[in-house]
Amino acid sequence: MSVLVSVGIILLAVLIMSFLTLSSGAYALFCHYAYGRFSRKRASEYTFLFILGTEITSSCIFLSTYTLVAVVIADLSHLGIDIITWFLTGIMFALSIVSLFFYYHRGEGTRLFIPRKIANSINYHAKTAKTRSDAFALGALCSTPELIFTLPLFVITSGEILQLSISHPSNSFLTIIYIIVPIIPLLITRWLYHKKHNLAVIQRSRVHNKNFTKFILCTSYLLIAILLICFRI
Amino acid sequence: METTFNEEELRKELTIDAKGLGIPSGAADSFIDRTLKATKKAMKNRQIITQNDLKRTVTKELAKYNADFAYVYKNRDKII
Repeated sequence: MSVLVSVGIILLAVLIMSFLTLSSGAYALFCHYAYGRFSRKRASEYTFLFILGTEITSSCIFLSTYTLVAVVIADLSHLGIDIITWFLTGIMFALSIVSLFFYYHRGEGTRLFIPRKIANSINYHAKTAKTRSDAFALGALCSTPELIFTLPLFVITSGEILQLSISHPSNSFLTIIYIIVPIIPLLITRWLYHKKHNLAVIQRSRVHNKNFTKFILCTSYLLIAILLICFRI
Repeated sequence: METTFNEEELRKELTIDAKGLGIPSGAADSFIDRTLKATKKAMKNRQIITQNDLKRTVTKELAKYNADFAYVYKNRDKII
C-alpha cells in the first residue's frame, strides 16, 4: 500500500511538472523568433539547446534537493518527520489555491504570475538570443521562476523516492521518469514547429486550455495533500 | 507609454514575425508594406503616439491580410 501511495504521489508530481506552462510558453516564443531570424537548421539546433538548458537545470535542482532531503531525513529521523510532513501538506493546500486563482494574470492571453520585469527579460532574451550559449542560458533561466511551484514537489518526491528505495529497487526508474516526463510538452511543441505549425496556433490552444490547466494543477496539489494526510501522518 | 513610429524597426520586427509564421517572403513583404503605409498615414497627424495606439493600428491593418500575423503581433507580450 505504501508503495502505491508513493508511486501515486510521484505520478501526480510529474503531472504538475508537465502542466506548468512557463517553459513551454517561453519555448514556443523562442521557436517563433529563432525560425524568424535564422535558417531552419540553426533554429532547430538553438531550440534543442533551449530544451537541454531547461532539462539540465531542473535536473540539477531536483538532484540537489534529493541529496539534501536524504541528509536531513538521516539527521532528523530520530525526531520523527511529522512536523515537516504537516508543513509540506500545508504548502500543497496553499499551492492548490494559488494555482487556481493566481497562476495566470487576469485578462487576455496567458500571462503568468511571475513579475513583469522577469517576463519582459525572458521575452527580450528570446527575441535577441544569437548564440548557442544564449539559447542554453535562456532554457536554464526559464526553469527557475517557477521554483515556488516546483521546489516543494521536489522535496516531497525526493522523500517518497527515498522511502521506496528501502523496500523497492524501482527508485532509479521513478527518478528517471520524474526528470524526463516534464520535458514532453517542450518536445511536443518542437514537433509542432517541425510540422510547420506556428505560434498563433500554439498560443490559441494555450489560451483555450487555460482553465483546464488551472483545474489540473489545483486538483493535483490537493490530491497530494490528501494522500500525505491519509498515509504519511 | 509614449513611443515614436520607427518604420525601419517595425519593418524588421514584422519581417521576423512573418518568417516565424511561415508566410512566404513575397506575400509578407507586400503585407508589411501596405500595413506600414496605412500606419504611417494614421500616425501622421498625431502629436503624441502611444504604444497601444501603434499596436492597435498595426494589428487592425495586419488583420486585413493575415489573421495569424495580426494575432501574433497583438499577443506576443501576453504569452508569458
